[in-house]
Amino acid sequence: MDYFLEQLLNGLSLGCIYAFIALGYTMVYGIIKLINFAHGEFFMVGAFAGYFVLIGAGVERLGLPHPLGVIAAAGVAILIAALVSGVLAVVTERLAYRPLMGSSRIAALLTALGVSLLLQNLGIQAFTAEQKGFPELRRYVPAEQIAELDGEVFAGSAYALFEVEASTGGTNEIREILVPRGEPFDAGSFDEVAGRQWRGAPVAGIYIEQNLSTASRKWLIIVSLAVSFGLLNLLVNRTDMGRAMRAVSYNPEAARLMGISSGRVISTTFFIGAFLAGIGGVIWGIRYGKVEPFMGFLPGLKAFIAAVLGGIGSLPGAVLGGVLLGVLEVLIPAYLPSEYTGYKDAIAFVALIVILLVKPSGLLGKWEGDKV
Amino acid sequence: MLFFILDHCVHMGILVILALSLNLINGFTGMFSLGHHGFFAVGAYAAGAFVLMTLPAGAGAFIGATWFVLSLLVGVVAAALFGLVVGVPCLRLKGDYLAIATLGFGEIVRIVVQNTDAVGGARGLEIAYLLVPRSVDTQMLYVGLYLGLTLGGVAFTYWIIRNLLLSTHGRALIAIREDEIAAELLGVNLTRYKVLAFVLGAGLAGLGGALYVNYMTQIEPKEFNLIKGIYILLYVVLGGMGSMSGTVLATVLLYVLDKVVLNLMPPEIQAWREVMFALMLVVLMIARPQGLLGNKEIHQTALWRRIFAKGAA
Repeated sequence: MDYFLEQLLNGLSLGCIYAFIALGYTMVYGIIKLINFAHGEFFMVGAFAGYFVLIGAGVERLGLPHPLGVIAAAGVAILIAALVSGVLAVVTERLAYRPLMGSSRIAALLTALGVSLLLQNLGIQAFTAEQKGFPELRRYVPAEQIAELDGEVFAGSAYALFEVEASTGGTNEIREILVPRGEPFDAGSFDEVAGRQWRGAPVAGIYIEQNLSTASRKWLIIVSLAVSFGLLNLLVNRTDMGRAMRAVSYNPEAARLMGISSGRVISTTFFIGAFLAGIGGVIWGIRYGKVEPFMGFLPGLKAFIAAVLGGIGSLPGAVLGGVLLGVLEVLIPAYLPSEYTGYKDAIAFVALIVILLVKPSGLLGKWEGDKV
Repeated sequence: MLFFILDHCVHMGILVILALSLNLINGFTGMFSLGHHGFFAVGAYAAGAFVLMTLPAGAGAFIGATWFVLSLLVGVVAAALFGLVVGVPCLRLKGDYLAIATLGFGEIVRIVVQNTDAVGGARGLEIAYLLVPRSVDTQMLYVGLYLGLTLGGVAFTYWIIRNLLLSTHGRALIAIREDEIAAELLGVNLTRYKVLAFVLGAGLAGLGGALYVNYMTQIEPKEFNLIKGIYILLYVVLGGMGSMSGTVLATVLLYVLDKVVLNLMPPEIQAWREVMFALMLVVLMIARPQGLLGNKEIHQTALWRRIFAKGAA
């Protein structure tokens, strides 16, 4: 039972990240009927923006106080990253999609594929194809201030940190555990380690594992999705812009005749969608600990599937589809013999084909029929 | 040097087969399939698995040639059957949904192959040389033979699609592309014709796959990824959806640009290969969405007529 609950929570948190991406997919599709394949790349760019913000702020060397400080740092990174990917989406829409308004759907879809490949490969040029470790959000204490910690009890384990020059020219971190989780810190044990050296490098400081447990981190993901979804609903249902968006999605021609500037509505939709994807990107980085230029492709595709699953064009559908897909993707391999885990990525596609055959409008979608 | 040119020609020929068969589905019938690399993979792996599992040990030249022909048949039939299995349910979908569903099938093929140990899993499949063993002495004969076979495959593909399109059935396919509802009202059996085009396109892609596995003798699942499918699509789109000669022209142009021109460039420029291709796709779609030839054949274009004008006309 515990195993089941743990896996369920894993699935929910993965599903919430899918939902963050799927919301943007479903909004863009709802308004201009375009599968924006590049949406996964907005997610990737968001993750990289978060990475550079956190690295640039030297977050691994900031002595962040307990939970709130860590969460605030993550929040700032998420906000900046979301803005970056939102702006990128607006620019992409202007340059690549706007000139295609009115041309065939296939041309638009191919352009979207092209933009996706373009951003991926520009990502490789800019950030190299190697995986990068996402900065850890942790409490860092420089060696001089160790004495002040004596007797304190940490929720996480504390490590001594040696910075060793790596053969590639960068620095590697070597960690040595000082006290395990929940035991009082003893400055004496540090003095013992401090005398030691690791390949000529003295101890640089100690860091204390983030005292948020893994489970509470997953809960934070779920809460952040709930909050974002609530705000998005307010935006779509209670503001003029939201009303304009719904109008354009319902009937673009009539909306234009009513004086709605569809160009602005489309730009805003792209911005909001990519903003959410950017949030998802940073959360992904924090949760799974690495970023790379290809990271957006598969999650992007799966998020699109999630949007179709829930009913494309429907916001609650995107969340439902994303969460459902995440849970399926974690729970099914968890209960299958290990030789089948390679098929994990096929689950989403099978789910897609099943839903398209059984109920093509999706779980929460409405079938509008064909216009002749 | 000649060897490398011929080797590139074989690869190009196989890509032409794939692009032509995709054009039948995408360009002429107007169904947007993004899973052509899946049919290619099914053809290659079915033919490869057939050879791997049934080829008698110590087979001579005659048995080898027989098995080669059989493996082509197996590749075509397997891909066509798979096309039927995918097509019948998926063709109820339209436009974007069909694109995503076929993309899903293409990915499923790759994932299944990657996890099936009987065909080598992620390590890849290796089969015996059926016609001529490839070594330093025989490589010219080898590549020349396969170039002939591949060109035969291209000619067969071109011939079968062209004849289909000139027949009643082909007219029905084009009618479906132009307007599905109008075509249905005129008595075109939508499902039947769509499945026909889909199965035929898949089968021809399977032929490409079977030739490919026999030529390479070593294949890996990761060669059959979505990027491959997008490249094939790019050939079709650049040439013009609905133009067979355009497809051939675009495949040759892009292949030469990719493998010859770029390879002569300094490595700093080569690193930008993928970026350039993606950019080209975007710019092409914005500037000339109908491709080089649109839906005309090359002998119908104004340029061709001016150059090869007959008599005083």
